[in-house]
Amino acid sequence: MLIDSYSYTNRMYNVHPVEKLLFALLTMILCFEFDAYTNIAVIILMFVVTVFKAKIPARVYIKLMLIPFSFLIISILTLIINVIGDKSVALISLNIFGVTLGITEKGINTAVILFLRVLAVVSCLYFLALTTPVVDIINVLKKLKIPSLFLELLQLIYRLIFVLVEAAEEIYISQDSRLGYATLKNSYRSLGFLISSLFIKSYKDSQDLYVALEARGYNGELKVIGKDYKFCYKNIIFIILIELILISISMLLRR
Amino acid sequence: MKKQFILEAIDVTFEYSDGTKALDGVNISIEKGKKTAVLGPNGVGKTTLFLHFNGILKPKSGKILYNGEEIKYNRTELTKLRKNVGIVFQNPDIQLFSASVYQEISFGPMNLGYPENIVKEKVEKAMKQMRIIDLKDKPTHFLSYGQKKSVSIADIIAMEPEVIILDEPTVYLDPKHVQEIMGLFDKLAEEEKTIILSTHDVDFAYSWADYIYVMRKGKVVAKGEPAVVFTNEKELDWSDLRKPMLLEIYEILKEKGIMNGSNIPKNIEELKKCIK
Repeated sequence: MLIDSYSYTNRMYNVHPVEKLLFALLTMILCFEFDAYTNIAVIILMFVVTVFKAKIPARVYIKLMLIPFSFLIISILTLIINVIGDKSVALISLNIFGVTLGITEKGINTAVILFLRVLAVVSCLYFLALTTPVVDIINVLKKLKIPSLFLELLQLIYRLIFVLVEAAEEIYISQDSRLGYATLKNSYRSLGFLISSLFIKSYKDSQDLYVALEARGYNGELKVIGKDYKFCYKNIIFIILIELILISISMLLRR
Repeated sequence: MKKQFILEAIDVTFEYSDGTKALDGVNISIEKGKKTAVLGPNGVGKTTLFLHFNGILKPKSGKILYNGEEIKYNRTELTKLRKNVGIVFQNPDIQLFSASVYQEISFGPMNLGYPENIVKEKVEKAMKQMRIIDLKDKPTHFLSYGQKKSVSIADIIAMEPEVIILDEPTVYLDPKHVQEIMGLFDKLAEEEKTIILSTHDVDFAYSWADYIYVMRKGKVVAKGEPAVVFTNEKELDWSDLRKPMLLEIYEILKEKGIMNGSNIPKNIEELKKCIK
């Protein structure tokens, strides 16, 4: 919800969504293509663009970047510690029940590259998510001829998430004000009621929504007009330049 | 001059699939260009009736007439009917399906098959009329209830229907919004649009409507001009409604003999003029 509200209020809201999508995707491809240095450069680049150009508070951005850490650290550990046959390549090794577990230099290398790559790709995605509203992304996908059934589902789901969250909040508050969450036992019971009434509500709402759409002449396709955006050549040149610089530096540093 | 009825329900009966009788021999005639209020407590079939006027529901028996012709339930005829009869639903959260205000309002005109530049014109015009131009780039879920309501009305105005039906438009709205919406309805009425709304706010209905229908348990139990309906004590008792405050005051003042003129006042200004 936090990301969503920034996507409508950031300073790059009025930039053509295709430009933002292009920037994020091209940079992401570079992250996969090249190694550690490129990834570090991308992490810094995305931080600078998101915080200084789009004016997302640095505190918020860093907090968001910390979210993937818990997953990341677990997967990194499993990459670093391996079952090894040959003790001589290991930096540290441990013998448990006849199995040798150890850390090798190769393992550490892979782990570092993976760690940086994940952070770099995530920062590209955050840039896109924080600067581009879902509605705009859907409009771009429509122009790319993605099947309309998929996009209409996406559109309705996105809108209804907020309706449903609001309903869930209302139910929660009304339960909480009657001590519905005072004890553990109460909490389980209340949560059960909350979930089941949400299901019923969403079923009923979906029927009402259909009636409301039909009343406005719905005939199986959600036809709407998107917002008008203008391409900015300055931005496009900027994107091309940045990508070229990234590519050339990466080529030079490639081992 | 002969009265021209734009929408008529003749002996309409409707049953939901679970067997509840929602409408039971309803007869209603809506005069063109007038403001009609349908009064009644919750669950008396007001919404069901409205869905008939727009061809969403088909009566079990009886018929619905638009401009004197019975409506036909095929695709092209229904599209035509829905262009001319728009419904603003009670809960804007259900009516608004799009996360973008602009897209939301463009949905109706797009369905009518207009080219994009004309749709844009209609959307802008509707937003201007509802005074929501500043919401153009806002996502739907950032709006307050009153703003959502305005967008849901703009949804329908953008389709430029002959008849605008509003299901409980004043519920949950603050007095300022109600005032604004009332002003808007008056403006639409000046443009010869027919407005039908349901409400249980008798004070609102009394001073706003040209004609009132009172419903109870799927039946029309009283109809007529507001002053006539609300002065008929017997029928009022029957329909769980109270008398409008203004009328009540007028009657007390009349009893005390401090009232001028014989016209029953419709609003505070008229009442003031009546007092000696």
